[in-house]
Amino acid sequence: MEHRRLGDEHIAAEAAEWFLQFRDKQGKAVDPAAFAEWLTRSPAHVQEFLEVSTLWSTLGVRGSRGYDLEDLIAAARAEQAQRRVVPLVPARADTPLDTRRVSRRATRRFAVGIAASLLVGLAVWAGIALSRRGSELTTAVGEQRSITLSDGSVLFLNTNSQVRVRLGRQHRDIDLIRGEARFQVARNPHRPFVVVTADATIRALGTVFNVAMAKEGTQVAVIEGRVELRERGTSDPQPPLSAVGTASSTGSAEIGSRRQARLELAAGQRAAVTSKGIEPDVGPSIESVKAWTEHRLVFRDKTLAEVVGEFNRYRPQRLVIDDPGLAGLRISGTFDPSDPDSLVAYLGAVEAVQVSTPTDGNVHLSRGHK
Amino acid sequence: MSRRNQSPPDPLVERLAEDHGDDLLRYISRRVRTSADARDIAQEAYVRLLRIERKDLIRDPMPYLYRIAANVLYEFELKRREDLSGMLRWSSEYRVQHAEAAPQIGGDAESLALQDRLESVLRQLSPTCRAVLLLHRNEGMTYDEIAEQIGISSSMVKKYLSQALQHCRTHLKAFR
Repeated sequence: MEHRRLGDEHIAAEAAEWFLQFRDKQGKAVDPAAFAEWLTRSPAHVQEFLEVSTLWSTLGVRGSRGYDLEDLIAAARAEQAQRRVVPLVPARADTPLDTRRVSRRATRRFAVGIAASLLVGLAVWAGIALSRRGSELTTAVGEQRSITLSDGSVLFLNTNSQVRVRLGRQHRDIDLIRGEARFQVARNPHRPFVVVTADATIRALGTVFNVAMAKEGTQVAVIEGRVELRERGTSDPQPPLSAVGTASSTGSAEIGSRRQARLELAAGQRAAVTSKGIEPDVGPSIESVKAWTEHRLVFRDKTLAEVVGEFNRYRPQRLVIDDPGLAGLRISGTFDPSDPDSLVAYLGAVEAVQVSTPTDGNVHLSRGHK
Repeated sequence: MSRRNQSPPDPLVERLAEDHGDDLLRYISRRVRTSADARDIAQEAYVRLLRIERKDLIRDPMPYLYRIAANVLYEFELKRREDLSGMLRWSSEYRVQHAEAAPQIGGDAESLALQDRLESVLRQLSPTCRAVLLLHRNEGMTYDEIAEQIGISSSMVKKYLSQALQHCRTHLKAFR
């Protein structure tokens, strides 16, 4: 039932694209054969196409007239500005210094042009409105975003993820609420950069690292520099920052009988925080966490079930394993997450896998006959 | 009785398509009152499409589909009227006229509700989706013009437009 609904929405999206392609006189003309092929896939395809056409004409007749053209454009521009930059906003009663800098900049812009300064003002205002509790940034399924924070750090947000950003004069706090993010931290010893998840606290100076929230816990991988990883709730109120990088030289923890509450990770190392505590060398490989910002999925000797789970993070329509015997099939390869056909083609080549796409919009995998 | 009853379906639909363009779609949507009707019509149109052997020979698939849908609608309408007249034979003249007038009145109330609903669905859109949709549909701006106004690429305009349509479509679905 759930799958059917997702499938319908997928068809609705394709119908909208076909419809727009018909209307777009500048763009590439519609290939009638391709359209006919799409249209005759199922009655749902016919219905969705008729519905989107009907919607279009309804919009023309009954579409909104109650809007102001300037407001409409300004709101869209403000949203786009917000998408690109999270303005530096002092948290609570912090720092007159940053405010002054913003207003000085705004004044300069004012001299250049009223329109420009209005836009800046709008973006800053939107930032303030958002960041009383911090700015929240969210990506939908299949969406990836990179956001430059006002301290110069860059945040890459993977599919279906959410973070809250609070930047103050003495702190940079990021809550990873769900999903996965990579942090390229601008060095500033006076403003520690701390990422908090449900299980873990990760503290960094200048560094690049990846944090993913998985079912089993939080997985951290360091690409450059060093980070300090702590299990959430282990209270060590004043962690000696100087200790970072001086303790265990390799970062691999001495696994004693004691449950480990803290671990330093250097470049190329990874660890996970699970219900069992901190576990070194657990989680996705460094290679694969580097790859997602380049829109690649890297699998090394993973089961088909894991691979399909990973693909399904990126797309609303799903890959479904119908034959339980296939779930354990082991796979290695590099794929583009937006192109599941590459995986399907690959599967067809290595193993006798039968691929079918019924009307629910999902791709079903079962054991083929060879 | 309306002229629809006297004309065979094809010329009628042809004329509708030529004379009214977009109105043909409104003609369809006015007559598709419930999602069950819409499904039946789509199902029947689908079956007819499948019967066509050389689909690649259809030069203008979109108007062709509309023609099929309009044909199906017309036949459904005829059939419904037959059912209706059989039931109400005892005062056919008055009742049939009445039955034809009734949906018109109902249609107006319905269309007001639809307008409200559409208005609120448009408000749910993100600022960019909303701007792109209204600028293109209502203000007749091209992708390039919108791209310049909002400061995004013209291919993003197309993406937002498709997103906006899909959102409206999904959220109006429950209503119909």
